[in-house]
Amino acid sequence: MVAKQGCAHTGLRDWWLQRLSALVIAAYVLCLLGYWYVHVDASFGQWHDFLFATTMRVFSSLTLLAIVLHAWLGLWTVLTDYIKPRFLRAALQQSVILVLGLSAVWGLQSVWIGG
Amino acid sequence: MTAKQRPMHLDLTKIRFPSTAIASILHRVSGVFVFLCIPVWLWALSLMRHADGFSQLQTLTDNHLCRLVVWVMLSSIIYHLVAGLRHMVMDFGVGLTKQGGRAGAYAGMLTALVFIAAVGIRLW
Repeated sequence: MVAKQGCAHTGLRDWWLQRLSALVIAAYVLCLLGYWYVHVDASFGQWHDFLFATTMRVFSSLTLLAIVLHAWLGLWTVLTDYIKPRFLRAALQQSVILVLGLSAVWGLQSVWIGG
Repeated sequence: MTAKQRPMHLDLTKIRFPSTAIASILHRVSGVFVFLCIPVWLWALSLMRHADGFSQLQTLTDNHLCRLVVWVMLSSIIYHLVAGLRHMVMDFGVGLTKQGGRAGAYAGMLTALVFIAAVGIRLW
């Protein structure tokens, strides 16, 4: 795993990041799912007050960043496992980073420049 | 035998997989699938901003096929989450034996199924 990555990569940092981001995302998913489960027939107003309250906005933002980290680490592993040709793998990695980056921007925009 | 002459058996349709292997590949597949679903969730989030977007979502999800799709997407998140938590439990050394691993795999799948079923019931 120690290779020319362009930055000093020990597996341990990624190991922690994967788990910390997982916990953030898990908490968020449970929170949202829980709300939906209890308030299945919630109106727009109720959903809006819930999702766009400042606390929830901050939580959503943190989760978006956690998702970027978590998904990147996970997909990096998958790509490294299955795609051996380096150029193809690099191209796919860049695509993943692009998708995640754009997703984060889109998500943050929805959360903060909305409601 | 030289390296090129060694026998190789990689017929996935014929290999018997332990429960732990199934649990593991499901975790990976669900993870990739969830990644692919990210734009869909973000699109839904963007609609939640306004009342007309919200009612658009409501009309959309009134459709059975749509609910099925949502259910599949939620199920993959749920499975990935449960299996991921199991990974972290294993980080503490629990479920690392052959029997423990098997028990953990089944427990994880069962837990995920329970939540998936609960979500399904709620959806319909």
